[in-house]
Amino acid sequence: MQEVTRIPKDISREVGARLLLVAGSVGFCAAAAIAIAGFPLQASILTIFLFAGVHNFMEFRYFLAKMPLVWGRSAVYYSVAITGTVFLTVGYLYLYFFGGNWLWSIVSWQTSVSAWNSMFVLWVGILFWLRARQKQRADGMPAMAIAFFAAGLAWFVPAYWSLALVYVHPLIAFWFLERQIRRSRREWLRAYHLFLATITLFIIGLWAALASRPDLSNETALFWRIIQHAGGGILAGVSTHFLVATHVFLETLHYAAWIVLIPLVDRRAIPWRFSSIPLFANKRGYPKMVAFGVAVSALLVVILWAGFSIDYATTRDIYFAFAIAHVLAEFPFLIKLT
Amino acid sequence: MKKFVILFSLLLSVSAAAFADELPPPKNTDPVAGTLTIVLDKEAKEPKLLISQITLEELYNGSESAGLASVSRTQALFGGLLLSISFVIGGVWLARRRVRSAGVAAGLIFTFATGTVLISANVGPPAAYRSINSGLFSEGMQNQKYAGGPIKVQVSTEIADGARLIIPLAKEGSDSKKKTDE
Repeated sequence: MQEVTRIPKDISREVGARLLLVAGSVGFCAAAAIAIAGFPLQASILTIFLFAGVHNFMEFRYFLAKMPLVWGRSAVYYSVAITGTVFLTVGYLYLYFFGGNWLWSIVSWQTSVSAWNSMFVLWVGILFWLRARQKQRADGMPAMAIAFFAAGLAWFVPAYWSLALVYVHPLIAFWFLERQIRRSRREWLRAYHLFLATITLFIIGLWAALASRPDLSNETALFWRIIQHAGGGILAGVSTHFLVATHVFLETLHYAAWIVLIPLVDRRAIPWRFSSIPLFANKRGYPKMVAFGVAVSALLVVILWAGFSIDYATTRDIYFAFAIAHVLAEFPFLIKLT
Repeated sequence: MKKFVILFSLLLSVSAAAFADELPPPKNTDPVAGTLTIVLDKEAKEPKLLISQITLEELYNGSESAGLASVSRTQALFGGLLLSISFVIGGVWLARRRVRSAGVAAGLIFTFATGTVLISANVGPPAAYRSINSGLFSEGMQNQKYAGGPIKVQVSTEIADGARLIIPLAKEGSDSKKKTDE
């Protein structure tokens, strides 16, 4: 009799949790969209100041928990992943810091950016192909065909391609979350898909409210940078008010996913649970190295806050240059989850 | 070793001097607004575009839009190569899978149809509109809406501002004859 009464209670509790998840997420999105639409530039400055470093720390912590102690059959996969991440990061930093000087013509700049974009997308294609080889029923050829197609487009429309990466990156966190929910809390999947659908509605809402608004002021160098980052110089004719608001909205959701939702779904991503890190907890692991890595990344968060407080614009530039490393590091772990 | 260091230093200094002679690339700002005057000239032997020195400097210093829109030969080469490889891999994959479903067939037809439209869009205009001549001002141009051809571009001090397009005035009847031949 006790069992009979317990099951409905559990079900109702579970349904309640899912409803809470959807309602909470949608409520958060609504509040964020309204605030960001009203003050997009200020919201951009504030969210990056508060959450950029923290979300990088959480990502690093998540990747640590996902990294196996022994690579085994995945040795080639992880080798290609790490080599690609390092190589592409160095290339990106070179282009970022040295590509803008007057020695570069527009053509050589475009060629270099296209080459980097091509190498990046082909690297992702190779990772998909290697992952498919590990799975019996998967075929890596479509991934390679798509990768070559995307790499080709990167040569014809380099500016639009790079801008697409700016807008696609925030959505990667939702893909991570989806894969993680599939693995650890499958019963939340429908509720999560419902929430994802509402994001499209919020973006349509932002468009309806802001598309006809005049462009944002770019009177300061910082405002100009924020507007350019959102595609203000590329998407001529689209209100920069809408572009910046949409970018900040997606970035805010990206931060929320990494800082709150992913640890909620996967307890191994909770920062202080070191026992869930194989590289730390296993007898053959490297506990000191892991502890040092976590300490350094936590310190970097504090340094970033200090940098933002002293010189926001310069710190923002430096942050977004080095942040490419975390963008790249996401792909191997994401593809591994597929 | 010493000689090598000296030679290397010399080479570096020469390279720096050579690079120093290069002009900086245009900055990313709004396109320059200007005026264009079209002149039909009996005396002109070839179409010519005269641009004032001031406008050229404004364009040089102010506009990058042309650079963004155009595709260099290197870009076209690599882009085309990568797209071709993509289609080859996709084709091999389809052949290996022996996919014959209606959906895939529809997808292929759509791809080819889109490609055909793009290719058609790149087909040049009729011969009459492939050169800059006074025939461009005919009624046929109203439907054609596009014409182009080789042109001489010259920076001129003769005009004060903007640009002037000089077009050879065709002999009477020659343009209409050309169109009839088409």
